[in-house]
Amino acid sequence: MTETVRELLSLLIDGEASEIEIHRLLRQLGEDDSLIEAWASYQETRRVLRSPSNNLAGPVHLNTRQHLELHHRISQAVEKDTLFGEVSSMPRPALSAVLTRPTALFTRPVRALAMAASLVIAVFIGIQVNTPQGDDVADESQAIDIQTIGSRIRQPQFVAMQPNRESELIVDDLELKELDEEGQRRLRAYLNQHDRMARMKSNTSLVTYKNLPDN
Amino acid sequence: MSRLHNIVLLLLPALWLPAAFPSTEESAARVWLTRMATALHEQNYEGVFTYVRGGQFNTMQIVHRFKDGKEVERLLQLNGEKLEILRIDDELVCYHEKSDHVDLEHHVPMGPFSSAFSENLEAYQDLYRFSLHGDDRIAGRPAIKLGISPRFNDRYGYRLWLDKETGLLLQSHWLDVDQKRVREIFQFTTVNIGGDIDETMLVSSLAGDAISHRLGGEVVSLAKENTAKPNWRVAWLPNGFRSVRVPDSNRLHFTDGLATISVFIERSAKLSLPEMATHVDGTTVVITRRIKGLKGQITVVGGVPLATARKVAASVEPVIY
Repeated sequence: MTETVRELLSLLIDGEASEIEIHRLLRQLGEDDSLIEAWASYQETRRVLRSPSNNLAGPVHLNTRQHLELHHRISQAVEKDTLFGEVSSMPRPALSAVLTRPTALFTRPVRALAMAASLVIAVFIGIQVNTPQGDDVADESQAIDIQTIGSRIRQPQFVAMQPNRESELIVDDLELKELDEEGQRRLRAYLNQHDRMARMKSNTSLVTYKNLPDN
Repeated sequence: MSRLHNIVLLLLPALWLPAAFPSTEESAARVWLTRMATALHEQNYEGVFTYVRGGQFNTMQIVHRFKDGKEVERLLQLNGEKLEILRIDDELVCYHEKSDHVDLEHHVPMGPFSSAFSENLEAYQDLYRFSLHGDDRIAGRPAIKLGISPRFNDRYGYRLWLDKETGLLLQSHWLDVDQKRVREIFQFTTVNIGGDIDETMLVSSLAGDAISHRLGGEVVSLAKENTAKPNWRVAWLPNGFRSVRVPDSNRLHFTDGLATISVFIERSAKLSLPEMATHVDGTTVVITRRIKGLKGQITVVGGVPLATARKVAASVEPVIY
């Protein structure tokens, strides 16, 4: 899987893929099994990050592009780092001299650790805060009271539509696990009943599906 | 004032005319939709499709056979838990791989095959505009692109890609009210249409060692008139939505033929859901609110914009006889 495809996948998960990008990604699905695995892995990462015990994101708001840009800048910083620059460009005798310098021995692992930590934090923040929080409604005047679900659920936010984007995929705003057990059970039952009340049979009747005991 | 009144009266038919006499393009689009409805039922096909809906990403293998007026379909979920769905006309049997945690209340990931596209869409020209958008290519097959746009922004639209040869639905996008954002994607990645489907291709691969449960078809009617006195009523619905009669006084379902809205009533004092107005899986709107002056809660679930669902929720009231 190429880096471009990986980026596309990230955009899709974040609901920022354009229609062209979605098409491109879907075409790739038939050709690359690892893409589906990567999707599942990203989703799992996202789920873990969104679990109540993880509150790394806080009020930080980075979108995917900012996240990628941050990643890019960190990468550039790594490349420009003088110590590593010296190491890569030095002739061999000088290299050993650098490595044996007490300060270099101390700073190199510290810098590497700091870089790694920055990348991890950037990735974590990037994934977590990019789950779409808004919805599509422009009409706020008829809003009923919206309360937060305990302290763990993100309050749905009403944001203006983004007219400049050609097309983007909207992903979930609420996961069932964010409710308590009884709430999950109830909402799942409602969603299933709604979902199954679907198949049209003719102009005058519908068929819905309900669980039946096995004979 | 009287002249203005006359002008308005003269212009009114002009507003009605486009819906009453659709353009050639619209007529052609409707012919394609009729072909699609027939193909979904009456074509033999097998392939793999992806179904992206919010955070859900399903890849399904499908085998569909139409023989002697009977539809038989086998769907196998290729990712995650092994789930197989066998459909014979309206009867579904789900097979789950044996494990300690089998969830029988699962979503049935059938793609748009499970929903409105099997209906004759032609009947909904007053509510939706149908248009053609040129040619494309999906899963290696030439396709024609169609648009289904709501005439009012109180519901969602679709973009469909139909097989040029057979009319089978190869790809669909469920679009937001802005007609740009995509709420759901269905797409065949590989498909073979026509030809014989061997009996062995329709036998469940899990049947021998699986947990199975039947999903029975519950035939309900589109209520033209209420035969029983309802306990609840929805005072406002978007234009074109009709009530679906179900044998349960604590839920109400409505459809315009494409979109559906469900209203659930919970009468217990202890509420299991907090008050909320949000989307689940990026596609389904969920709104809960307390019932004014009474114990209990109503929950509106729908494949419609949040603003529409809000108006529906706000209009639910008990019927006092």
